[in-house]
This record gives sequence, structure tokens and C-alpha cells, in this order.
Amino acid sequence: MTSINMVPLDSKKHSNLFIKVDRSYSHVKQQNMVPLLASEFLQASTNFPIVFAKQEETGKFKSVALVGLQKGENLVFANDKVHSNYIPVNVRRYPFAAGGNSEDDSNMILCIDENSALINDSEGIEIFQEDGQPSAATKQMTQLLTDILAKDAATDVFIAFLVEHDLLQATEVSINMGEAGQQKINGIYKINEEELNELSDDAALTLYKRKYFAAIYAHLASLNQFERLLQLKAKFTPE
Amino acid sequence: MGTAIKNIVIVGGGTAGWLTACILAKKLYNANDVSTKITLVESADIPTIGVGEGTVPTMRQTLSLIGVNEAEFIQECDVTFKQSIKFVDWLHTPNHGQSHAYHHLFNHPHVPGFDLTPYWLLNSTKDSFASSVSFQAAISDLHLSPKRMTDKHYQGALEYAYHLDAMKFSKFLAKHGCNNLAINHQILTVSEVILSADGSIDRLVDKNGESINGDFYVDCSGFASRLIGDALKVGFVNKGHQLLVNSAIAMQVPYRDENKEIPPYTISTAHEAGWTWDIGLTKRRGVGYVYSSNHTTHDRAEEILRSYVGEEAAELSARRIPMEIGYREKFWHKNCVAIGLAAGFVEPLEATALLVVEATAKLLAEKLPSNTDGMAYAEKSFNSIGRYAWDKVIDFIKLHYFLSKRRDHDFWLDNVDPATAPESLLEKLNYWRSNVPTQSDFASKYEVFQLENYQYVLYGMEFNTDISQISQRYPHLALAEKEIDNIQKKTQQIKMKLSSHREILKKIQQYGISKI
Repeated sequence: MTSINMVPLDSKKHSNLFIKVDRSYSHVKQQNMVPLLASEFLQASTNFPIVFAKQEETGKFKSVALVGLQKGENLVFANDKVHSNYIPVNVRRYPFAAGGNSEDDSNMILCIDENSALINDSEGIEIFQEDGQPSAATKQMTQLLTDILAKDAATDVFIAFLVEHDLLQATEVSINMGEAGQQKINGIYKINEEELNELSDDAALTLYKRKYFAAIYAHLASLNQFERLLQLKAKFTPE
Repeated sequence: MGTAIKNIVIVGGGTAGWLTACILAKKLYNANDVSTKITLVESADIPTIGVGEGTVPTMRQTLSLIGVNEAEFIQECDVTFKQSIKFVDWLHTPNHGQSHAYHHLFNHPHVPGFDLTPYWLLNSTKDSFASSVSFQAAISDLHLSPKRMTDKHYQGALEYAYHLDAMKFSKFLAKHGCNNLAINHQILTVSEVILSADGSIDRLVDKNGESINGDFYVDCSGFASRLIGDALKVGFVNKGHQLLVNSAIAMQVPYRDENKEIPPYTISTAHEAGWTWDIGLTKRRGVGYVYSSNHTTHDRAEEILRSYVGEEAAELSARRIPMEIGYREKFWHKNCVAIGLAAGFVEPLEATALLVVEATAKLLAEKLPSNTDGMAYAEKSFNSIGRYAWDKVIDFIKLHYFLSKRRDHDFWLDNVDPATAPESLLEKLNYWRSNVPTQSDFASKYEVFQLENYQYVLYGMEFNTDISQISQRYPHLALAEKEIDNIQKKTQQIKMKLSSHREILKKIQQYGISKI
């Protein structure tokens, strides 16, 4: 897989480029986790397990959708198919990304992965119109990414709340792979229900007012989707 | 029933005093019982020594036990990680740029339940002991961090301890102890110690004539040994005839380049009449020369130190520290226990200072009787464990010298003279000349240094254990070869997952460390 090369979108440099539409989202086919915003938990929860994982760079928690049972394996977005009725926005946005000043989210810079196989000079949706203005699709993408940035920040605040109240716990998922024996998935974290039920009145009220309950229970319910990943795995033939 | 022991007074506010106070508070307090009181008395006039900057992995358990936030500790005490002590030029006198070095690693030799040592001994074309039995030697030499950002607090991919700024560490512990552990902190200078008729401590009197009363006293007053030595007249067992160094000269060397890599290990380099320590903190190095003034002059010692540091030493001042090697005849006498330098001292070759403080403070917390009836037994038991532990520490320190092949100075000739070695060390070495050291040679858990520590030093120093007569007892050659091979493979895998030491320290400053 070629590496990602995100650069700010440039009306001159990228003027004649088109983006192929790939409804199978094959750019994530070698990822077993994809980022998921707290605002997406409800819709995602009927499709895949939602868990928390640490970022290698910072050690900080992010919420992710688990789409494969081992490193490099994606069972949901595989073989040109999508086994999900919900596509996380951070998958949909590709090959675009939000760049810019992390201190000031309002200053979003639209970036594009120059190494993406979706970029070409004839097929798909144009990035810029002939007059050099962003196309309607590009404007929509700008909207989406601005929205993602805000919701990503809100997700960080949500996770900080969980950490601060000791609501996260490491969890080791052991999966019976039949002949291949037991397989362990390490490095994933979930919400500790016991701690959740022991929360102080103040903290519980904060949860309620910030509308965190939906995300919390969606996450807990989603943990039943490990079974679904196993079913997908049983039918899965690697490409 | 005897009088309850509820009121504990600790004298001295260095790292020994504060560590002891925090450990006692954590172990003796109970949320429902506020009757136990711990007071730490510290003089504003007496400076702390502040050169104990190396630790061993038990410090992780200790800090975790007393409830310290690891990231805050790292951020506030200029902490770096320590995975090993690298001993340079201890085996041979350096010759035309030829230098010998070995690692005493914190990771135990791998392959649990299967000792590779005999196979390593039987193999003639071998790599160094440390790099044969552990991937930590290579990881240390690459200056990689033992910890990743994804590791939770007090855990790493490899074993580790810390290098720390001792002055900042005692301030940090003081803040923690007062804010979170309800330790009563009094700034005053003890001018008099009043004894009771039975010879125990009745009270302390400060220079304004005020009394400080306790049921039990802990002497953490450093070399001054204000209670156990001065007041209670407990004698000192000098070990200068076995460990020959008796002076130190130290210097703090700021980094000229703040991106310079920091070795994740202490460097101990042997010289003509002693050895230098070299500890890299985040903002500076702490460097010092420990030497024998019976074998060299103080001026010559300073010259050695300055030449070791190089041109960076030019504008820096050096501080002389006299040392007395040995320990108190008793560590516990009546209602007083000495911890830290007041109890005893050996050269900081294996970072024993803080290690012994941790161990004795925990032992005191365990042994402190509920009332005066239990005092006599507790004293006897504590003293016998304490003396045993100190003697074993001295054996281990002496081992480093005794195996040297350096003959460049009287200092080394005297050090390898069996008359200067403890009998308990000599008899073990004699056995190990033709037998592999095993766990049963270290029967007591109060031996601070265990089998693994001895293995790294013995075979780092190329000690010759000749097992050719019993080689048939070791039939698993092929398996051993495979295991040693696996360790090399694992080295390649693990080094890809680790970042540079300096980089991880910077990230911890920025992002902290997760508690889970």
C-alpha cells in the first residue's frame, strides 16, 4: 500500500483532477480499526463493535469501530463489498481530510491525499469547476469536514470525561477461531459498567446534560457485534 | 497492655525522610482511623546531600504504592528512564582506545524456567552474556525508550527504573505527602534530644525550646545521624577495609544541545583509584567520581573527573563529598529506627541508597508494633534482617571490584586482595568456579541482589565458571541455541516498536501517561 500524502487542496495544482467514486471504500481494506465519532455510536452500534484504543503517538484514547479481528484485516470493507448499513464519516471523507491549525478548529484547511488511487484526470467527480471555483461536491466535503472537526473535538471531551471518572477499563477479548485456537485481541478498552453505576449524582447529571448516555449505551450494546465479525470471518476469503 | 504507638516523628527532609513518611502514611493510615499521626521535622538550615539520582525498578512499585502520578513525577523531577547500568573499563585497564563494557540489565535473562547460563558458558564462540540472554542490551545501546506512549503508568515494554533530580524529588514527595497523605510537616531545627530513664527517646527540643513528642522516632538526618548516632550512641561498623572508596567529587553538567540523545542507563566507568557515575537527566547530567583518598589525592581526583567530563567541565564547579562506608551496629534501638544515610552507606555503584530506603521503610511499616509490648522483638528481628541485607549489599558491591583484571594502580591491587573480600563472597565465588550459580545460592528474599544480578556481573566480568567436568548435566544444547537465536530475532522485532528515549520523554511532558 502506498503511503498517504495529505497536502492542502490547491485550485491551480489540482484544477483538472477528478475523484473516482468508490462505494466499497477499499482504501481501508487493510485497517482493522477505523475512527468513529461519539455522535456516530448509535448508528454504528448495530454494525460493528465500538471500542476505545490508544494512539501510538500520544497514548491518548480515541474511539474506533472494530472492523477486523487481527492486524491488517478488514472484514467489513472487503472484497469490493461493504457489510454494513452505516459508513463512518471518517471513511466517507476520503481522499479528503481536514488539516490546519489544531489550536483553532474554525480555520479548517481542506487537504487531499495526492497518493490516492481515486484521483485521476477524467473519471468521477470534478474537484474544481472550469471557472476555478470548488465544485458543489467539494463544497459539500468542506461542510462535512468542518462538521467532523467539531464532532471530533466533542468526542475528545467525551473521552476525557470517561478517563477522568475512571470509566474506561482495558478489556481482553478472546475469540474462538475453531481450529486456529483461541485468539486474543489486546489494546482495546471499554466502559466499565460497574463504575458507571457507581457514579456520583453530580457526574451522572453531567452525563445526562451533555447527552452522553446514548453514546455510552450504544458502545456497550455494540460489544455484542464481535459475534457478527466472527460470522463475517467464517465466510471471509482474503483477497 | 503497653502504650499504643500512634505518633511517629521523622527527623530529616531529604529523599529518605520523605519516602519513609509517604510509605508509612500509606501503610499505617486507615481512612476511618485518624489517630495515627506522622510528623516530618525538617531543618531549614541543613542542606540535603542530594546526589542519590539512580533507582532500581522497585521504585516503580514504591511510587505506585504511595499514589504518585507517574507522569507528574517524570515532568517535575527531570526524570529519565534507566534500563541498565553499563560498566565501562571495570575488567581491563583501557589500552589505546580499547575499552571493555558490559550491561547489568533490569530485564531478567529471558526464557523463564530455563537457565541459559550453562549453555552460554559451554559455547566457545559466544556473544556477550547480556546480549545473549536479553534483548535489553541492544535496546539500551540504541538509546531507545523502554516505555511506549500506549503503555499505562508504571509499565513498559521492558523493565525500567528512573534517573531523577534528588533535590526536586524530595520537594515533589513533600508536596505529595502533605497534600495527599496528611503528613504533618514542621520546619524546625532539632537542637536537643531528651532521653527517658530507660534510654529511649522521650522528646526532641527545637532551638526555640519547643518540644516535639512522639511515640516512635525515625532518624533520616543523613550522615549527621542525629538520633541513632549522636543521641543514642549506637556505634558504626566501618566497612572501609572491604570497600576502599571513601570520597566523592560531583558536578552537574548542563546539556549544550537539548536534543542530544540521553542514554537510558547509568554509565559507571572505572578509573585508576575509583569510578565515575554518569547519569543523564532531561536537563543536565549528574557526574561524579568516587575514589579512595588512601590511594590518590583530592586534586588528582578532581583532575580525573574533569578529564572524564571533557571541555564542558571548564566553567563548572565541583563539590567534594566525604563518605564513610559501613552501617550502624543497630538500625533499630528502643523507640528509634534509622533509615537512609543515618543507617549506613555504601558507594552508589548499584543505586543502593534509595533502594535500601524503600526496602527498610516498607519493613518498618510491616514491623512497627501496635504497642510497646512488641517493641523488643520487632527491634531484634528488624536488626537481624537489616544487618543481613547490608552485608549482602556489600558482598555484591565488592564483587564488581574483586573480579577486575586491572592492575594499573595500587587501588586495584588492594581491591583484588582476598584479605579485602568478605568471607561470604569468597566462598560463593569458590563454588561458582566449577558450578553454575542457582536460585538456591540466594535463599533469603531480604537479599537485595539476587541470582540475575549476580549473573550479569559475574559473566559481564568474564568470570570463569568451568563446567567442563559436568557438561553432561546440560543436554539441551540445541534448545538453548534456539532460544538464544529467538532472543536475537525478538530484538529486531521489538526495536521497531520503540521510540528514542528523548522523544518519549518529550511526549510524556506533553501528553502525560494513561493510568489504564
